[in-house]
Amino acid sequence: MAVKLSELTKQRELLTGGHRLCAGCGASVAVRQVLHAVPKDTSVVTCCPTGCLEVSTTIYPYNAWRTGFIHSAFENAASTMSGVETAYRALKKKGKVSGDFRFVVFGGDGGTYDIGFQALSGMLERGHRVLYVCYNNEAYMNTGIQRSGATQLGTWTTTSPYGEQSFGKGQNRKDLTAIAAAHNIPYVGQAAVHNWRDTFTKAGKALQAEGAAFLNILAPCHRGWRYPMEKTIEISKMATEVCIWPLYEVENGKWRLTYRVRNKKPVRDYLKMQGRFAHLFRPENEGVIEQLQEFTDRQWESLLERCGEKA
Amino acid sequence: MQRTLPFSENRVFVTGNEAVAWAALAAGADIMFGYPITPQNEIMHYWTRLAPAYGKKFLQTEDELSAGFTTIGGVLAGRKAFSATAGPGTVLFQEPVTMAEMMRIPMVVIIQQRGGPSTATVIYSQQEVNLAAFGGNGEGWRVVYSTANHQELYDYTIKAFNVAWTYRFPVFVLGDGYQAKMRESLVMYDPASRGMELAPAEAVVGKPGRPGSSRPAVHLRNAFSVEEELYESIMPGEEEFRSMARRVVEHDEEGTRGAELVIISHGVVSRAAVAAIKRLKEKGIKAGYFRPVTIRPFPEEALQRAVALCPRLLVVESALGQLARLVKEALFNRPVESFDTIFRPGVGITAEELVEAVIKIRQGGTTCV
Repeated sequence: MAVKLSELTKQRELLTGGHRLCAGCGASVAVRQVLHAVPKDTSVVTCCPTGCLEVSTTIYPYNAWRTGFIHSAFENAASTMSGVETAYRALKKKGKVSGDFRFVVFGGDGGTYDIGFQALSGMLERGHRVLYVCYNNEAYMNTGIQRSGATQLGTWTTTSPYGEQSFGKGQNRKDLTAIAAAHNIPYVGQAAVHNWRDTFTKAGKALQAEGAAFLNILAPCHRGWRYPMEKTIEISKMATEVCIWPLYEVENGKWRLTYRVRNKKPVRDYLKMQGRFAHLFRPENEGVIEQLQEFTDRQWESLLERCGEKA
Repeated sequence: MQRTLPFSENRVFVTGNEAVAWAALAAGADIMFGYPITPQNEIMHYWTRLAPAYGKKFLQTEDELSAGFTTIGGVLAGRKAFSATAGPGTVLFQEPVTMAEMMRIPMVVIIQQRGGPSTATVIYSQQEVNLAAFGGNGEGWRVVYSTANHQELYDYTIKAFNVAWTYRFPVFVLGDGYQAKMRESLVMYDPASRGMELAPAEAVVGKPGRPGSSRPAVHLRNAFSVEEELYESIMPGEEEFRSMARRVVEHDEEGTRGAELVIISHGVVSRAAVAAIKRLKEKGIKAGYFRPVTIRPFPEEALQRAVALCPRLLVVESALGQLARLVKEALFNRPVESFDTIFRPGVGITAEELVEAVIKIRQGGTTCV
């Protein structure tokens, strides 16, 4: 699917400007890249659990969504959309609804990795034809930067502060993309906002899939990650280059790297760009970066193996 | 590692959330289990910063159900564990809290009320009265302290731990978003310096020896096989709750004797009521104020006494009659015409509004919605 950026810019945005997400926010970039992949003459219903994206795009009496939009509670966006999709199928069968619809959930990592995990797993297992997109900024940004299941080891957050007794978050993140893939659904992808073509292509496949689909999109947050707001895309790119956030897909059970890293850089290069990791470079926290490097390498090697990239 | 509070008495100017974190420390809490929700987040933030220096712990869970049950787990292991939540989080807390009621497990949860139903606002309301007092599938075996200012947030958080661990019922401290986020002065103190004794925590699991042989076995039940079995457990539980209720029930009142009208409110709204009766007095109008400090158990007898001779009552709350329901139940034999109400769900209420309402009522009007 050869697509030109110049063509995409002419497309009608389904998430319009004027919303109140921060300048430099990765979430809106992720949403627009996904929604650009919606086929023409197809209607979309979107749903957000509570989070930055929902709060900032739906400040009453305005709404930035040119789609049918549902704000659900925090733990249940996948359930709500399961209900919508089930009703749609029933109505379609009875001939009471015409036209083609797609259903897309956009949840943050708190509402996806943690409190919304059960609902997500249920939706994937039941096989609703819904695309669930996690815009992953690796913490609860809407409530004030608390750690989540997506937060990397050693990260400073307001509930994993660093000091004499702590080097930041004490655990590695969970691998939600692989967990989603373990549901044996038709399409799972891991993407990042810097690679628009990759995200667009994955969203296209996910929307075509005859069943549940899941996309985990790294969406850096300069407020929570502590970097200058113009560096969002650069940092997203570096996450891929150091292999802490590889781009890959699992299509009908087949794992495939969608971006081959030529010159794998040390994780350190990614960490030093962000204030949330600054304390890891102090002598008292020696060894944490190495632990994170080791975790990253292990995950990367395992991914290469799954993708058949190892001789 | 510092083990004791850095002060015996300390006047400070802090947010309500910070006051709660310090109070939990002063009350001897060992660990907080929490999950992000506005407006209580800063209780976790302050606690995570304070905790390591005092040998205390913090664990963030994946949702409020888990925060509630990890709190129970901590308590069963013999730790003074607590949590804090709000709004939809308080809804999810009902499952663990009812288990604590049934198994008689002490538990402290701070609620900073936000608007409802559902996500609503992250700011303020008094809409979690029903939920705090009677939210679970059971008989409402909880103690609910409704605080009005930062000093009370501090005092009643300490008290909550003592009541929970003395009587083994779950205890809520019911604040709100205004109290959570506002800065105000208060005196923080070490309970020991005021001669207060802290109730000890006791482990149920993980003790040395073999239960039933080298030490007595403990059997806390949450499930029953037949109806009668449950009944026989509930009735003594209710008796213990009532007996505890007599000892912990609290209220506050001012100027009720000889008042022509009594304003009934709770929590932060009662500050407007106190200010209003002063201003009314300056105008020569004798109005009184009554406030339940414990929403559950409700100070029914005190309220009946306070308003027995008063012809008119004005019930005021930032909810649609959640306090009024409790008031009307306590005063079940009063004529309906003697009640006026101001219900402002999710919105604050000022002294000026109350003064105006009272003047209107005296002129023969009504404020009822």
